[in-house]
Amino acid sequence: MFRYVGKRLVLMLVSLWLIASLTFVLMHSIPGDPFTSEKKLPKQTLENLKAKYGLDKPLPVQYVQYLGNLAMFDLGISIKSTTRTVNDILEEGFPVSAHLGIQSILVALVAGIVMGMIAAARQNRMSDYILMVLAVIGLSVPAFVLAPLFQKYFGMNWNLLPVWGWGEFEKTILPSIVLAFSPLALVTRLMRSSMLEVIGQDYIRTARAKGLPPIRVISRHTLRNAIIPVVTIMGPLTASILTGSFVVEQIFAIPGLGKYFVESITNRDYPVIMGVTIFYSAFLILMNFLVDLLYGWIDPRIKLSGKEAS
Amino acid sequence: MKTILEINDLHVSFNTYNGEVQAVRGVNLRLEKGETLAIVGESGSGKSVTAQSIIRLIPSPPGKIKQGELLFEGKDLTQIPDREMFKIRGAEIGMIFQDPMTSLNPTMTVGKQIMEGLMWHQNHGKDQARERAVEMLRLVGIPNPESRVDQYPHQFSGGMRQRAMIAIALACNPKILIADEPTTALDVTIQAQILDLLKELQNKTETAIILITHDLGVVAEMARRVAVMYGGFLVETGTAEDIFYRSRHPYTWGLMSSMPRLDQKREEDLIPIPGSPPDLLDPPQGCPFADRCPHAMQICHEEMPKRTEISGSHQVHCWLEHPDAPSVDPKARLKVNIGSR
Repeated sequence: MFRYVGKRLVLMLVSLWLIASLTFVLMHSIPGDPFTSEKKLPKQTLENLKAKYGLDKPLPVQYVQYLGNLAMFDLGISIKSTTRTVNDILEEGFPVSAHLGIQSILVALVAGIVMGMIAAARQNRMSDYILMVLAVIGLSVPAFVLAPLFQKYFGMNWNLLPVWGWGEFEKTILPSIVLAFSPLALVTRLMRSSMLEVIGQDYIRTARAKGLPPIRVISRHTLRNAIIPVVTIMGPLTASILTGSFVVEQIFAIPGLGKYFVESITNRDYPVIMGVTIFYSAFLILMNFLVDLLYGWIDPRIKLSGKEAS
Repeated sequence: MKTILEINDLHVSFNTYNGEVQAVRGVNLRLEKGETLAIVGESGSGKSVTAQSIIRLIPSPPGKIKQGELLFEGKDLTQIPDREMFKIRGAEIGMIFQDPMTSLNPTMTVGKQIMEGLMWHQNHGKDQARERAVEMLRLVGIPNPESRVDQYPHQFSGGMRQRAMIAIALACNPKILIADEPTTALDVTIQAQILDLLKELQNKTETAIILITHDLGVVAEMARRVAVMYGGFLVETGTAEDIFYRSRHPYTWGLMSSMPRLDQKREEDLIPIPGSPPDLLDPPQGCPFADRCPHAMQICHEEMPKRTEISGSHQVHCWLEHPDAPSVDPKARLKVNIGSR
């Protein structure tokens, strides 16, 4: 077990290094630089600016320097907002995005699992059909359609919830639900199909033959075996939702991390691009690692070992 | 002998897209306290459906008990509410299944799977149930039960898993154990062990066993009485001796001659039964075996024969028992077969 964890940690560092290098190369292959703008800057000013951020040095030197800083968890200073370091941006934005994300994930997980179970239990009946239609809608209607609709009805017409901003709990409700919609649909569908598969297994018949009532059969025998596919997608899902959604945060004016993913690239704000990408990747890798640990706990047949799988 | 279970005119159907599959079409059976009754028949004969219907375990929908009675100690199991059924399943009537590799929950320790029934039916506390689980594992012959109880099914071999299944089924001391092809998925050497175990446990606990199988060797080993099923009907019932030495139904003869025997001469071929079982979506009007029967007469295709009592213990459904029917020699079958090749 310890050997497994150790090995995974090393692999995680290697992946991160690869991602950082790739991002670095790709980022510098975008035409222009952070100081490209409508107004032409005087040559001297431009050179001074470049020197300030170390952009005058050859790329390999910049690369080595960046990796050196990265190893000390120093992600550099944002070029656009000169007073803030990338670490500041992450520290400010991530808690907000994570707060919103955790609420959404909880909604998606709990409601998705319950709805998937209901759909499976009532397979090919009305409630199953309704839930599956909802799931298809949830998967196919994008957030930028859903969000304004929610704002119009819940916010303006019925005056139930605030439509924008951040801070109080009421303000988090609408964006959480909008953000939860597509993962909710995904979890529902996954849960339904894996429940149906597990229900047909012989050991469920054994459990029924023991005389356990249906509730107990589901809670003790079906659920645990059916939840594995859901756990699998939890890794990437959590990472992407917790690190912020550009669209949802933009629409609801939430000061999260989401907008930096997009804005940093259009601004060619090199340190921010590198920073958010590496942060997101590290988070994703960590989540996948946690999911793998969770597998071993859910299904004892999955053994975690440091040895190569034979 | 006291009758513990009585099946009267049981009909079970499955509704499919193609129509109603009449899997069981009028089965009458009695099970006495502490005896072993074997239900024999080929795949699709309705034997498993009959067994699973007893504890209402057939998947429903699409399965449905259309008519008939299942009297367990005088109580009709087809009529009681689900709540009461949950108290009988596992507690009064236990069941073990064909494939021990897939019949145990892979994510739960074997001990917990045994304890579960005890805690539900007998309100055992955790410690008490665990003690009983260890005791059951020891009883079914699993070495080191104290440590095995905390292991998962994948750490057990096939034979051990079937032993664990038996432990689960017998944990609450049921009055009836339904064993649905308990040895089919096991090695021959393990088969014998499991059968010995079942017999030994039956002597200790006086549990009645309904043994579903298509293996006549297993029947000879285990059963006091045998019921032969074909096409959803019970075609012949009798004691093991009746069936093995004095069988009266052509299908039973077919079963016997398709089974290898130790005293068989080398040059003697095994004789398979030609053809395939009837389509139960659209079952034949008459005897379901008529199409494959070498002795079939006109009437066989038109009407299902009534039950004939050969002796107090031996009944058969066959037109050959009719006073006007020609007398046939069971061995004649052999010639008919060779002639048709």
